[in-house]
Amino acid sequence: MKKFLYILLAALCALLPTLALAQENTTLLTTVPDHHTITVVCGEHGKAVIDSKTYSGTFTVQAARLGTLTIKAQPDKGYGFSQIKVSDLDGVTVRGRSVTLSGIHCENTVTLTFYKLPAGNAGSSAVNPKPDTTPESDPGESTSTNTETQTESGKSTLEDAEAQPESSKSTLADTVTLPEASPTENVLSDEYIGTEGGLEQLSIVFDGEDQQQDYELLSIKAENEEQKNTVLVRAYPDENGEADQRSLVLSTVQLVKLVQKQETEQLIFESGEIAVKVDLADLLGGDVQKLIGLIAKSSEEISAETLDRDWSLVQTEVLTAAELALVRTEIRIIPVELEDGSIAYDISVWLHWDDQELEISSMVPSLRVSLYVDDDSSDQYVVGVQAEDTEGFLLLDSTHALLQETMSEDQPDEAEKFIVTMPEEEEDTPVTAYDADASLSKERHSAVTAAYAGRGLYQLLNVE
Amino acid sequence: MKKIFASILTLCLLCGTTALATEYGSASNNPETVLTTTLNESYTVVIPSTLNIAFNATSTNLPVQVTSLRLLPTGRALQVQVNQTSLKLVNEKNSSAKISYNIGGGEGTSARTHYFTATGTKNFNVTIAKSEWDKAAAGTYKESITFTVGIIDKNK
Repeated sequence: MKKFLYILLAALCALLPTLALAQENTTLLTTVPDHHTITVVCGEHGKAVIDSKTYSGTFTVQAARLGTLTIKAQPDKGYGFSQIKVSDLDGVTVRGRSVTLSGIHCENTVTLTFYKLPAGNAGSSAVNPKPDTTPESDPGESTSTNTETQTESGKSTLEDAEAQPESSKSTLADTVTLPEASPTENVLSDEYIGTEGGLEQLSIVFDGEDQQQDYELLSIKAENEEQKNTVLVRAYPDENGEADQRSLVLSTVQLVKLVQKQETEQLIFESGEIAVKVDLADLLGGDVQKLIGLIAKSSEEISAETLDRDWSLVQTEVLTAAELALVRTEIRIIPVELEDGSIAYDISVWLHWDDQELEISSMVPSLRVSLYVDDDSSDQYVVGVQAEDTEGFLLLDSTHALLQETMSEDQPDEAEKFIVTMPEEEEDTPVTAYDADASLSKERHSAVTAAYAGRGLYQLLNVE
Repeated sequence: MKKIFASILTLCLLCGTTALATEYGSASNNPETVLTTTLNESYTVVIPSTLNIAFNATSTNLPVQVTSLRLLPTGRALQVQVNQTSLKLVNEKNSSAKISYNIGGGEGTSARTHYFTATGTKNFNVTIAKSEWDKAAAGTYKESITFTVGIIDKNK
């Protein structure tokens, strides 16, 4: 018995060192709800239809977790469906007047707004499906040629502009008085690019056959002086997933409104794996401003040879909003499949007026080309360009732009985001899905950026 | 001799019993206390037995509280280390439904260890990406994570 006790005690003693390192468990516990409350705020002059039931005013519905909810906007006679504002844009799609929330994963508030159709369009199909960026402004009201007004407001006249140092020269955005556009209950139209042209003016992205395309627009406000207030327009690929030509087309009046209303400094147009950046000061100032003046005021024929003139001898014209509306700016991205099957991009910037167009890429010094790379890639890349009638790529100076973030981590986390859907039926206009504080975490890309080096095919080249 | 040997063994056993974990309860956060004592060093660590993670929370603190600590003077530290974790919360009713998470906030490359040389509270972070929440099916998810607690010589 004593022996047994000794053995037992000895065994317990042998276990002591292991007990000095104790192990403990913690249970992590969380519960994911099976339903989410969707609050629908149906604005005036319209109703919402869900599962054949008609609602108006503010109401709530319970949606199954990860389920789908379709809300059909039903405008009153004489009104159109303008905008859906949501607190979370993830999974929101708009087709005609139907808004679908799919993969519902949180509470959401959906606000539907309706707007009064322009006179003559009430309840009819008067909207022109073809893009028309010409605002119907009254030249008498929109003119900015009143010298007294300009002087009082500190805006520059021609003489003032010449007296100013290069860095502070004015652009068209400083000299043009925009007409007050009628509200459309649509933030993108009212606060960004609407200039009395109705909601159809939201058609700003087109394919190679001038067919209007859906797009996203993000407005990113700078948080310090080193950053620029940026508007990013993102084109979508074709339905089959292939990249096709995409053009961003904004009238000069729309560009002026972006600067005046939002203090936008930089425009980024993204299509697939490429983004083109340009400073609005270049599109509205300097030699381009003079060229727009020639187009709007002069009777002379404008051609490619016009660009070769000595622009220091050309006067800066004071223009009205109505005159500016005649001139549109296009940023064009054309994917081109090379013999090896890879894709390169033909980048260019154009002015359009009447039935004419003129390439002005060389007049835009801030033009930059960014090509996206995998965030996890450790390879080194540069942007290369293959000029017309040459073989091989010229490697551009992108040394300091390797893996540069298109939207870096130190930029704001949130932005105003719009998803614009083109109408499927003639009687409808574009509808905007709007999130006032969308997260930018999914929008950041690693990109290699280089200055534009003339017309040619731009491609990302691995120089490892 | 036999009596002396038996006395020594009994003394060892009495010392050893203090090395066994002792549990205490609390109405607020159900803390679980591990009390370990060796001959000249002792500590009391409080780790919650359950950590409730709020729905959609991307970061949740997991506190480790040392309420008493006695160490030998040179280079000794109390180490609290997270180990044995799959980093997946598993749905109770559907084991194929999971939410990936990560634990950090500690020291070292894995950020899953805290060292104490004095009493106090340090937090680990349980992080769940928004994209994980967004795709998670309804239900209650659980996972048990294990801590190893012990006194180490940081000079070694």
